[in-house]
Amino acid sequence: MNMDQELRDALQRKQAPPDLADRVLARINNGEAAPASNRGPGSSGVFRWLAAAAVLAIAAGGAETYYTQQQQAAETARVKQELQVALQITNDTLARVQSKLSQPAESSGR
Amino acid sequence: MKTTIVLAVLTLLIPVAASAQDGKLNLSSLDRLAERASEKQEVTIDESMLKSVTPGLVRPGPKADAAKQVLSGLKGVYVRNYEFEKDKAYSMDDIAAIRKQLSSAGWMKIVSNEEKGKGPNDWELQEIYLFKQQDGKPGGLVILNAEPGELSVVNIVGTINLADLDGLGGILGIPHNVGNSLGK
Amino acid sequence: MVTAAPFGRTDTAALPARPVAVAAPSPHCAAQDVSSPDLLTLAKAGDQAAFAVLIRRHQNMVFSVALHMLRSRPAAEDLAQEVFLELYRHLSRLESDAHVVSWLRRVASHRCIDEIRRRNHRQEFATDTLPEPGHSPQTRDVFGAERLQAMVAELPEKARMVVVLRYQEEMEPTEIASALSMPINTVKSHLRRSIAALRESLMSRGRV
Repeated sequence: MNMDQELRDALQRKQAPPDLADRVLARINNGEAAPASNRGPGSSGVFRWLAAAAVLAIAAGGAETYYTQQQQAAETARVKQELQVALQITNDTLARVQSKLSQPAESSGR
Repeated sequence: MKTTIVLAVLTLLIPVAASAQDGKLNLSSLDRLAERASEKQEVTIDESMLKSVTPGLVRPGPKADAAKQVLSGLKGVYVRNYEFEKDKAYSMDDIAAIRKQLSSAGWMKIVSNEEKGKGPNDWELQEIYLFKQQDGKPGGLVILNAEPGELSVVNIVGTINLADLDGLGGILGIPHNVGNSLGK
Repeated sequence: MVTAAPFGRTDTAALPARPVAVAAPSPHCAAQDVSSPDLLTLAKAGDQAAFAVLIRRHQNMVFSVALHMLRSRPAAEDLAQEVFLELYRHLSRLESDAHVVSWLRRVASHRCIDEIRRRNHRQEFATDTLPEPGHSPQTRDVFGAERLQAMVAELPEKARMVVVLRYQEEMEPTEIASALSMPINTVKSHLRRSIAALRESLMSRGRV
């Protein structure tokens, strides 16, 4: 298996949508490219999501419930992320061990 | 004063011994290596954290029950992964304290690969240990990968073996071969 | 050990020259026969047609980075648009086509990593990818390539980014380190471990 060649094949560049440039220009002409002092990438989407979630939660059970739920969801997401990292590192390390064990015995020096 | 010092020393010693005896390593000796690392990933998830988030971790699906069963047996997940810009940032002596814990009762080395070449940076070590409780049930595992540019120490505490990691990884979105070739 | 063997490109879109101290004019111009320095000058002066050519010159690169990272065409299209909008805002600071390329790679990479982390926080995981129209007929094994793409997408975000920049963009580890503000040893470590994990995963699935 030539891993390098397989990865090159798998990760070839793909064709972008033919109208991508037109869509960007349309957004520029709509004023979206004006420098915004405090806007980070994607932040407006995050704020919209948070605002909508806040409205629903406050309507359902009050700000305190919303805050508790958000804390719990954030904690679950954090632990899940950490578990993923831990298992990925475990996976990588095991792969390395397996790789070393499957190699033929070498003389001293690499 | 002397008595206090003796008691303090004993208090410091006991957790180390106890940790090694229940499948959990004391990883504090790695803190000084963390300071030298150019990149580090440290995960510390104890039993209470796992229990509080387990319901939200597993989404419904065909492998949900298997993943929940594995999670219920976990008591802790501790990972230290360091990468070093300079090859001589640490040596085997720096991880001696870890390996000493793994030489205590209950720990079995099931995989070992140690290579030493001619140069001072020509070495590497891969080891896997399983901890067996007094009733014979698995109590933890340790995976150790050490080479001049990086160090990985994985300590999973609980009734888990290498094959169980696959079921857990599948639910959490990790490639499906964790432990496959080594755990059976 | 990852070698630095030269790769062959199959992408037929206009490609920038490799980064050099003095940017050479691009040998291909998809839309107009305009040299790179003139194109950038025009775009910086507000010429939208010139900026459109600049986008078309680099859109496959940016879109592909996003697609391989996010595994979703809609998300990749959105991200590519955002990157080019940011390019428009930062045009005045860019000096050459080579500078544009390195800037685009850096910004696209960081935005992809940020997006993945945002999705992880919201527990959104892309489990399917849409069929990709225009898939290169030169791929020798379509299903194998798609399977490998899916495995690459399972790598942690930084390791995934390193692999994409190495094999899609054929960047050297030093260039990747610069783009991602990452120590060179870390880049090499990510490459080594990712390739080992991917190889192991491919072999074990092949036995099933």
